[in-house]
This record gives sequence, C-alpha cells and structure tokens, in this order.
Amino acid sequence: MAGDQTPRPTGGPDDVPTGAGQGWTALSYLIGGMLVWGFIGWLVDQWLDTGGIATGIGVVLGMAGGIILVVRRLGTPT
Amino acid sequence: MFGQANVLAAGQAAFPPSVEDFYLPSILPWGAHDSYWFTKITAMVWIAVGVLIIFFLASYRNPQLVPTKKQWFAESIYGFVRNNIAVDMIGHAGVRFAPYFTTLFCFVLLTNAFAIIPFFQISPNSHIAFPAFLAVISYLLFNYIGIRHHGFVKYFKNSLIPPAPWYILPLLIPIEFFSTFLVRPFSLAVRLFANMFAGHMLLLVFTLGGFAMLSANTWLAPVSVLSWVMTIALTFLEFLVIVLQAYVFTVLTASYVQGALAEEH
Amino acid sequence: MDIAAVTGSTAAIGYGLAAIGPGIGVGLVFAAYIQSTARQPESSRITLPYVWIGFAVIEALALLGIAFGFIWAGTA
Repeated sequence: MAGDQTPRPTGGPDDVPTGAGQGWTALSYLIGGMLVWGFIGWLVDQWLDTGGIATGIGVVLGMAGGIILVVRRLGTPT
Repeated sequence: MFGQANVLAAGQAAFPPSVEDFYLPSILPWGAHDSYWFTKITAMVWIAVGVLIIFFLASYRNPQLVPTKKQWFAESIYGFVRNNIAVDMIGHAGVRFAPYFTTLFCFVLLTNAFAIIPFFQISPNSHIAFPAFLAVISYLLFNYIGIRHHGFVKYFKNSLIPPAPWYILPLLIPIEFFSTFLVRPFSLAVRLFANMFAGHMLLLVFTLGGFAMLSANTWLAPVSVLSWVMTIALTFLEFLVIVLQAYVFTVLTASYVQGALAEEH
Repeated sequence: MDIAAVTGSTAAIGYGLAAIGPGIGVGLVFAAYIQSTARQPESSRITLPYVWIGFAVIEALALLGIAFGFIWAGTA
C-alpha cells in the first residue's frame, strides 16, 4: 500500500545477510556440518577401525553443530 | 554444430546426448582434434565482452539530462543493480560496488542468454571454467574487502567465531570455516554451471529425441512433433532460469560482501 | 518362515519414507511465514529468524536420512 517498507540495511553493525543469502547460509551450515564432522568421524574410523560407528557419531555431532550455528547466527532476532 | 547437422541429415541422430556434445569443434586451427583453445565458446565470450563494452560506451557517448532511449535502457540496468542489489544488500556503502555488480550481472546474463539465441545455442557457462573463475573473483573480492575493512586477524575472528559458549566453539569453528571459505565459492560456481549444463542438456534431449524417433520409425512423427513442442516450452523455462541465475549470482556476491563488511556481535 | 520379504535396497525405501515428514514440515514453516507476512508485512523482518530455526531443525532430519542412507547402505 505505502510501498515496500521492509527496512534497508544501514551497512552498520549487526546486519545479517537478508533473503537469499540467509537461505543458502542455513543450508550450507547444515550440510557443511554433516560433511566436516562426518569426514572427521570417518578419519577416526580409519584410525581406530571401529567399523562405521565413529562416522555416524560424527555426522550426528555435525548436524547438531549446524543447527546450533543456524540458531545462533540466523535465529536470534536483531 | 555443422557436424551434427550433417549427421542428422544422413538420418542418424546422435542420441542420447552426452558430455561429448559440449565439446565444440575447434575453429582455430580449423577442425583440429583435441584442440579446444579457440572454439565457438571462446568466440562467444569475446563477443559478450565486446557487446557489453560497446553498448555501455555508446549509450553514454553524449549523456542528456532527459535520456535518449538507449541511455535510458543502460541507466535502467545500472539503476536496477544499484538499487535492488547493491544498496538493498549492503546499504549506502554498496554504491561503491554497483559498477562491478552491474558488469557481473550483465556479463552472466549475456553469456547465459547465448543458450537460447539461435546460431549460438550453448552458454559458455556450461563449461565449468567460466563460472569457476567468476566465483574465484567474487571470493577474492569479499575476502579482500573484509580484510581491508577489519584488519586481517579481526576479520577471521569475526567470520570464524560464532556467538556461542566457549565449550561448544571447537565443534562449530570447523563448520564455520568450511561453510564460509570453502562452500561459498564452490556453490556459486556449481550453481551457475549446473543450471546452464542441465538446461542445455534438456534442450538437446528433446530436440535430438525428436529426430531420433523420426529416423527410427516414421509412424512416430506426431510424437516427434510433441517432442519439439516440449523444446519450445523448455526454451521459455530456460529464459526464466537464465535471468534468475544471473540475478542470484550477483545477489549472493553482494550478500557475501555485506557479510564481510558487517561488524560482529 | 518369512511372512513377508523385501529384497533390494531397503536403505532406499527407508530414505523415501524419511523424506515425507521433513518435506511437509518445511512446507508448513514457509507457509506460515508467507501467511503472516501477508497479514502484516511489517512483521516479516521480525519473524524471519524463526523461519531459519524451524527450517534448520526440520531439515536436520531429512539430511540425517540421506546421510544414514549411505552409511547403512551395505547392511541390507
């Protein structure tokens, strides 16, 4: 009605990336978390020869880390 | 392109299309095997660069206060990128980046658009090299801007350390590093490349499929026509994807620059 | 005696079933965001953080589904 009133970023402190950037950031935290810690878990697997458990634990840990990151970075209202 | 037309005329279509169809014949030297340094793809990139330079130079040759049509068109493009991408994402400081973003947007749009323009019919961005290099430039840009604005140590501290209690930080920092410094350039490049590759592959499948069905059995002619109607419909969809991917590439680059400039908590 | 037997990749069936829930869930989150923004546009910036929290937690299950599909692929 009165035009697009979504507030523009002032380029100052505490500006979160708006819109598309946030979406891709959230997705990359989730997938990246699983990949990084799944890979570390797989390395532990190769080292200790535990047959897949360490990879699974790594993936779940990475998933938890990804969720924590998304909540902290993108989920706190400014 | 000439090779395939001859094969089609001889009654056999190169179906199904494969990655080999993306390796175009070399123009200089003419018809050489395994020489890809100057093909239609290279010529298209040079044509895109030339068209953009000539267009923007010519429309600003004698700028009037009341713009001529060509000047208005060039100003609209620049205004769109400056207002809706640079200033929207970065704020007032974004005007500094608007020229680069306009160039980036127009270049990606033009090279993408070659996928549906007759006689060109393939986008240079369906070869991973071009999106990869554009992504590398965006990567260097946002890192350099961040380091120059914050200082080297402070920039990495801001980007890598999320607001979380100290005992969870070892879990989170590898994820942050991977996501910010590895996934971003990779996903920029692969997003553009995959969209252009898949679009071209789809058009190839439906076009060559029509010919393949026709040459296999003439009773399949109506199905061939249907296949070619699908090609036309997919070309319209491809147009949408072309504009969208150019926009997304530029918007994400602007978003990364904004993230690099933002102060942290 | 087997009452019913399934051969082939049960990991694939498992992932297919696991993708139903998160698919509906993410759709609900974004539907709610779109509706709330339509009712009161000024609230869009305030509710956006909650969209990402909801999306992350729900998508976690879907991504775990695909990850464990690969991890458990060999064990029939």
